Amino acid sequence: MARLIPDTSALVKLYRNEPNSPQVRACVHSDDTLLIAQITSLEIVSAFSGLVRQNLILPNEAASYIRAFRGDLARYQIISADVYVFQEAERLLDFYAISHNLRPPDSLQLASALVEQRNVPINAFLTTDKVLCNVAKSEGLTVLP
Amino acid sequence: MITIVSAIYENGILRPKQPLPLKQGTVVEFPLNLPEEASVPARFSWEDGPILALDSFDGSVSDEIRRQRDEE
Repeated sequence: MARLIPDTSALVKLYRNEPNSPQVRACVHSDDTLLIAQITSLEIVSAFSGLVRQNLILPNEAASYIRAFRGDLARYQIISADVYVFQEAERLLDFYAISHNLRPPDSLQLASALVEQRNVPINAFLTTDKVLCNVAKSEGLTVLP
Repeated sequence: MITIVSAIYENGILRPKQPLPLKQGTVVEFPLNLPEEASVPARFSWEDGPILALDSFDGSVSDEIRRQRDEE
């Protein structure tokens, strides 16, 4: 019964079969609690919309994924992007923007996990993104897969 | 063409109660009329949940997320 925080790069792999999807799915079990940063909803829509703009997927295909994700929202615990999350995101950018190429969306994802971790410990941060993986490990989080 | 059919949900598969006039592999989209008693459980399983196969793009959405994060 783990508490897991997938970033957007990991979450999409629960909906779509692509590299590392089996590894991400293997980390998530039926009695786990999934928490997601508030920015995840925006990144999901933006990513699929970007693929449509590049003519890589069709608009109705993107809409179907977005609809599936939104249909599951009630099953996730949303970590609000409150003032504490933004303060933490600023700290992360100060530390890692130059050395690790950390960007604002990365910092909000990771800050959400770190703030949540202080409130109630989490078991793992799920990501397939190398930047987030490296910084999350530096910040002491257990990173999967 | 719109056809109304009944189906039973079992083990992650929506099984129509009658045969459908569709070719094998046909992808359809449909609104789902959920009965009140079929409430979604508080927890859910990804282990046996279906991954959506909605597109023919063989790349990674995660790569697109990284690309957008890296945009100045």
